[in-house]
Amino acid sequence: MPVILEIEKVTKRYRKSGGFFSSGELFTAVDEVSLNLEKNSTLGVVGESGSGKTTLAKIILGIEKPDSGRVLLNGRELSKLSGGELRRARRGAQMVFQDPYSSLNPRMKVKDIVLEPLTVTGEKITDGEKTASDLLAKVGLKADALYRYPHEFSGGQRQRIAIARALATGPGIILADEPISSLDISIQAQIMNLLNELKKELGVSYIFISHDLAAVRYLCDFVAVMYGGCVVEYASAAELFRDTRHPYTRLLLSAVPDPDPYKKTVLEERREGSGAAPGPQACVFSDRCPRAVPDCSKQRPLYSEIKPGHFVRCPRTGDIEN
Amino acid sequence: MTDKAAPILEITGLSVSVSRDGAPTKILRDISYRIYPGETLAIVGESGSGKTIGALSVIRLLPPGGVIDSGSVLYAGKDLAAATEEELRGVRGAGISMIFQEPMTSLNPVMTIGLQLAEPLMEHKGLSYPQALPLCEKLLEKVGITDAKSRLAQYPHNFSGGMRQRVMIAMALACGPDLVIADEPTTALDVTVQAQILDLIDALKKESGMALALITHNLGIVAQRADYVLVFYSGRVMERGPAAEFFKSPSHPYSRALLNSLPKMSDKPGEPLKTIEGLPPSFDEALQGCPFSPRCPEAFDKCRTAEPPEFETGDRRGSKCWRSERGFKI
Repeated sequence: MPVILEIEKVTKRYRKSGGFFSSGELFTAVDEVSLNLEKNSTLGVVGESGSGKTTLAKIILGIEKPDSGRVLLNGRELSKLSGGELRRARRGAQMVFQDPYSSLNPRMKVKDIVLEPLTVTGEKITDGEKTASDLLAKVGLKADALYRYPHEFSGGQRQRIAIARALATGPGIILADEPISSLDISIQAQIMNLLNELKKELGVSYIFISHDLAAVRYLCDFVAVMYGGCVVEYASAAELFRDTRHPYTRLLLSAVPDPDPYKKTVLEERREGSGAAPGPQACVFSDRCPRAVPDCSKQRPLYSEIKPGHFVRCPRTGDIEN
Repeated sequence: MTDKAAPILEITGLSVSVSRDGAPTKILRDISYRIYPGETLAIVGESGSGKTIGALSVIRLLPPGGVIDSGSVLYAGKDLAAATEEELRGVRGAGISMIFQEPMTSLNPVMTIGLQLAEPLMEHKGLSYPQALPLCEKLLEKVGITDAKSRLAQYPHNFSGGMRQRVMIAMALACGPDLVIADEPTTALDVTVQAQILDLIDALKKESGMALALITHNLGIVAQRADYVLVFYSGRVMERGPAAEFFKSPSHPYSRALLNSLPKMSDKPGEPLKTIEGLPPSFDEALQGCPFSPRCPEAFDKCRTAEPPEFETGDRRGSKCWRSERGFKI
């Protein structure tokens, strides 16, 4: 499969807001992340809040520029483009947000909402009504929705409208940031089915940012686990859930309550972090890792391929038995 | 958790309506359940199913314009549905206390943690602030907050989300409640923190013998933590029963559909998930028959004309479905 998105050693630092007279210290939100996304596949990005998932999404969309490293979308480096060229290149990646109640402008009609990605990138639309109703049809909504307002729709229908909007520019990639977590269970299944159908029909790829590991396992072909700005483990979804190697991934999986009362889930042993982030020469997880040895706080582990297609940023994975 | 013990709380035929612009809308219909000491009762349902009101109405925390139309809530020999506001104030935060979803918004940002923790003790136990402080310190230690003494002088913004939820739990425990009602207590938290908080609540429950009413939409949490389950839909309890039996053999088609729509380990990637078509009814919609019948894959003629009462389907089990009627045949 051809690669549609290449992320090479991307790093992004922010300055924490300091006191009145002092500038804050630097904080690494995304730390040397390298990932590839194949055409027509789904990459899951999981991790807790503050792990850098959303910053990574912003960099992919060209909203933030990385401090180092580069992002190639369809072979073009977004941070090198500007003006009209950037606007056109950005059509290749679109976004679906978590909360369909705040991501749709309540004063805009559905037709204008779904056409907006085209109008803001300066595209001439000859037949807006037809374009918009075609987009709605793709997400299972009827054309009578065109002239209604977001408040007339349920949460699941609004998320469909948001997906129709993301499809407007015919993007190769849709970035979905927790697209189902604010929806009810029965509606979550409908939206997951829709995402899979669109993938099959239109050949789009997804980056699915989520903390719902059951949904990730169901939807994703590949999974990247982030912690402290780093990708600590990456593999195909089947491989990652079968042969989980990184101590953080194991902790994360052990924390997910199984909807089967006969399969008791027990949270893996863990340590409470000190609160202060480990220094730049230490492993990002070393202060909470139950398997840490003194070396872990002295040397940052390399991101290495332990078997074909399975990458881990931990030198001690050999000690972990499944 | 044995049926021989007396229930802490016994709710019978509770109906609640809310008046907006003078027109009352029924939002809870004929809710009955019991909670026994030490039991974890899970209240599940989709948004707008009435699950939160179903739990909070037992201490008469009703939405604006809400009234109890009928039914009783027996707690410690008193009917809370008919109690005076004064009597209720003595129960809320003492015998029955609450933990809310958003630890960010349920703590007062300009009050120290110590003062907020001391409040229930001063209100219900008649202690002065200096008398309450050592107890507050013990409470913080109990919920796993280290360096408790200096933490008491801090403000909510000094605490992380998980830590704030621990403070909320400490507040709920302050007066040694018989029952804690927790409304989505871990929804806003990361999954590892969620597991820690639920482990903490379980441990505290074992220690004190209190009961827990846990409102959640996460069926994984229900499977792992609950002893007993109530399934809300459109303001009614569609099914209730012991958790293990509920997951093994759900009685109501709605419960079955809900469990089926969860992605499972055994699902093949790419194979469509089973969904429940359509949307739940809104409360002001005029309904005929069973409120789930328009979406129910197992509905038949009677379901669309007559609303089923609750049928007993086992020990402490009930289902509001015509298919659960004894001797049911089509």
